[in-house]
Amino acid sequence: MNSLILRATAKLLISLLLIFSIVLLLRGHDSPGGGFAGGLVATTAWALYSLAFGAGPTRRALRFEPQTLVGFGLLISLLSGIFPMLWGQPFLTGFWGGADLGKLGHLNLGTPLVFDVGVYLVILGVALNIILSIEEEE
Amino acid sequence: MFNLSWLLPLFAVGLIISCLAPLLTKKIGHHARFLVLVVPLAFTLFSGLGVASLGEGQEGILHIPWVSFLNLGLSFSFDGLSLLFCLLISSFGLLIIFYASEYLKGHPDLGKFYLYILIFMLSMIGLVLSDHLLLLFIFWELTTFSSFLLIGFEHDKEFSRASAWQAILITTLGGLAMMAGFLLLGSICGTFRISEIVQMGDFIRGSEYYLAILILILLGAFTKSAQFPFYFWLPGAMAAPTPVSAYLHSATMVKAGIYLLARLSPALAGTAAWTDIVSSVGAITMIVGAVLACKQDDLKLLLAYMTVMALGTLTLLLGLGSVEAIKAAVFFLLVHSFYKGAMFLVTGAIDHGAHTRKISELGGLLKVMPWTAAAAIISLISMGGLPPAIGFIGKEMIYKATLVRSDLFSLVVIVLSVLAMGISTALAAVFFFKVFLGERRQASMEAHENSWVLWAPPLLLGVCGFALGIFPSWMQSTLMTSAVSAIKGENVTTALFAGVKFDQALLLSVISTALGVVLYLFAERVRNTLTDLAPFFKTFSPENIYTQGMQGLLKLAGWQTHLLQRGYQMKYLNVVFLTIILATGASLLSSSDKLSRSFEMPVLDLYEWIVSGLIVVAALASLFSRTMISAVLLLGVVGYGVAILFVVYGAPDLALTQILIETLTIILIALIGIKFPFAFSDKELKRNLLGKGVVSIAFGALMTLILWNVMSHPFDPYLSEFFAENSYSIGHGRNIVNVILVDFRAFDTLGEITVLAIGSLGFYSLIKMARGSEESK
Repeated sequence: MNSLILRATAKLLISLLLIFSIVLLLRGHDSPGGGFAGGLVATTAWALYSLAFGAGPTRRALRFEPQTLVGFGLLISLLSGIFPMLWGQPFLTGFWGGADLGKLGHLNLGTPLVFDVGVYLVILGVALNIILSIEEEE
Repeated sequence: MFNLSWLLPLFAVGLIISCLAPLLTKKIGHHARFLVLVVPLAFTLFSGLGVASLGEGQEGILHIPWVSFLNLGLSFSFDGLSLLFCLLISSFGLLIIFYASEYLKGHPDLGKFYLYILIFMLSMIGLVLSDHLLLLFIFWELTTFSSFLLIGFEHDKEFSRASAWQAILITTLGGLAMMAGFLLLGSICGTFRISEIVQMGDFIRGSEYYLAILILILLGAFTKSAQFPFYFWLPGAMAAPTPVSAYLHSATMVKAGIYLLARLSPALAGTAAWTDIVSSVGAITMIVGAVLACKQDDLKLLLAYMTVMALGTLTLLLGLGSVEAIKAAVFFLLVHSFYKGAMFLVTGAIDHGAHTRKISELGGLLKVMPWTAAAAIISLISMGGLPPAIGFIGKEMIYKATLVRSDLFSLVVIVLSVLAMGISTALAAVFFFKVFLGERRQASMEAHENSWVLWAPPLLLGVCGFALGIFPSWMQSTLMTSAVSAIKGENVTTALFAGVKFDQALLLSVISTALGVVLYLFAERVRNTLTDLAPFFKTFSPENIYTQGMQGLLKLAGWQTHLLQRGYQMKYLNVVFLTIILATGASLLSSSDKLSRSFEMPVLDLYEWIVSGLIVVAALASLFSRTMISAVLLLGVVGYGVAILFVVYGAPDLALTQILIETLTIILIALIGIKFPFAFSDKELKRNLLGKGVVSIAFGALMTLILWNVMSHPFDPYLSEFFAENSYSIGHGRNIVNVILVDFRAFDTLGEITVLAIGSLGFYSLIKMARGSEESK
């Protein structure tokens, strides 16, 4: 779409949206959000990019094929589940580790977060696959 | 010193190396094979150590529990039978991958080949070491899958693809039947552990489900081991590169069915049903394979049909079930692997050096390819069953087994065995005299000897076979006795091989050898007669039935597609909606649940009324919109309204997801709308209004009914309370929804994203296909 206004505002909005999507991903465990929501917002960001600049530049900016993102996301989710098995726990047991950051509060990290990252990537990849393909349709 | 728990790290290493193989081959080319060969080498050492420790009476069971109340876990066990196979698989794997590295040198897909063949080897080893029926099934299917990839290795050839399909369809159908049999067996025994099931033989044989279990499991074994009438996929599988044929389709994978029969013999054998079915099928397969081998001109096909014959012999022996028969089976298993594997490798070498595999085009290769010839001759002596090769001893043991009983059935079996062995001798002679001796024909003129990597492995196999034949005392070893005991289900201590005596078995040997000589002398005549008779049998051959069946299936699919999927989306939607309405509606109405909740006016706040009203108004307005965009936007209002209601009722995650999905949908449809901008005309809007109205209203009514039905039942808060209590303590999160998604029910989520990934893959390939066909226009 050839709109200068869209292109100018898109760049700003996209950065905001992408940061927001990561925030959603990370806060998911204690507040509304999570991998699905984060992935969808990221998709919206990239969809906006593709509307403003076209499908080709979007693919180049992404640097990975959407399908690669899907595969990678699945792999991460699987590995996060297999990781506990190396310690003799059943598949997909949640392993948690925390760190106290003093004034910033308590940081709680675990394998479900890694799983969520995988979900995020899969959603992003699948949706972008469809959106970009439709955009490239003649 | 030997520890079964090394198995898992070995598997892990093997898996990692096999995944790295394609990358490695691309980077360092030919030398990647040394890393690849580490895997079979490691497993050979592992099996060797296992064999050595067998005598120490160690009970080898490795069990890693997973879901303990389902008794589901990784269970492996080893005894003589599994270790014998393990040793065979890994040592042959070592030799053949080494051979393949030269045979397929420079092939662009060599890295993938290493991957596939290593995966196969790992799966096969897992299969024979598995102690859990379902684990065995998983490995079984993995071998089918890797075999599919290997048969279709030259995937740009139509024949390779078709053969791979044929193989996977037949073996998978059998595998499904086998799975059903396993489930039945496991449920009547109360356990899926093979080591426990084989102790319950009498109970199983007396159960009312015995026959069903038997037939289902036999279907699995017969399809995998190419028994009649499922044998025809094996000759087709010769489309694979020769190392694959040598490894999978003669020495290891096709023996998986034999392994299954052997492993479950203590549980299932001993009844008339077993003996009759298994021996008959084995005998028929044996003779069919032998006869069909006679008319082949292509060396690989000849060896393939002889493999069918050998598999039939093994099945026959396991069917007979006597101690003699089982001893013969175990021994012949080894014998056959040695000479057949070697002969396939020799054929590959001939193909490589002379660029043809047809007997009619070869001759006099002895002078040109002396080393290959040497390798061939040693194994051919075994194949022909001549002393002092182990082939001879194997033949003797088979005859001994058939002579155990003296009834009509045994007589028939004896005659068929003599015939089959005679054909074996004849074909060995043909291979030797026609291919290596005799006048040099066109192809042999230009032939050349190959590198040592291509003739050393078969030579080694042949020499081993020969040595084992000259020094047969190893047969008394713990390995062999343990294997035979495992199959018989009781400890067998009698000597395996008591030496060559002048008895009936030797007489039969002499007769079959003489028969072989006669057949060889009349080889041409026999071949011609068979070729003339072929058309008569073609229509009823299993292969033809399969081909016709597949074509019929495709025609049926085409007809049905034409009927139901004309390309009008409206029609698809109608079919889907109508099916849902009729099926769900019927079951709802026929259920005995009464809709006990009566209708009362809800008490809502003002804003809830407004939002609900907005939703209804927007939905109705979309009925009257003229463009697709406006309709979609109005439906978007419905979506956002529902999201607001979610927020009102305290489900922020749902609302968030709803809003995002709604937004994306609008973007998507807007994109489509840009490409295909159309407006609904009056005519289109009014067409079939009544029909559309009925379906829509019925669907909406159905949804309402379902919800009403759900609300009529008392709500069991058990799950909500559980999650609310444990979300923070166990799940470390305050957002219950997310904790459920990625922790408590992570497995479901994993399944969902897998489905998404597969859907996306399908979408991607459809687009590529459509684009591809457009570009080529």
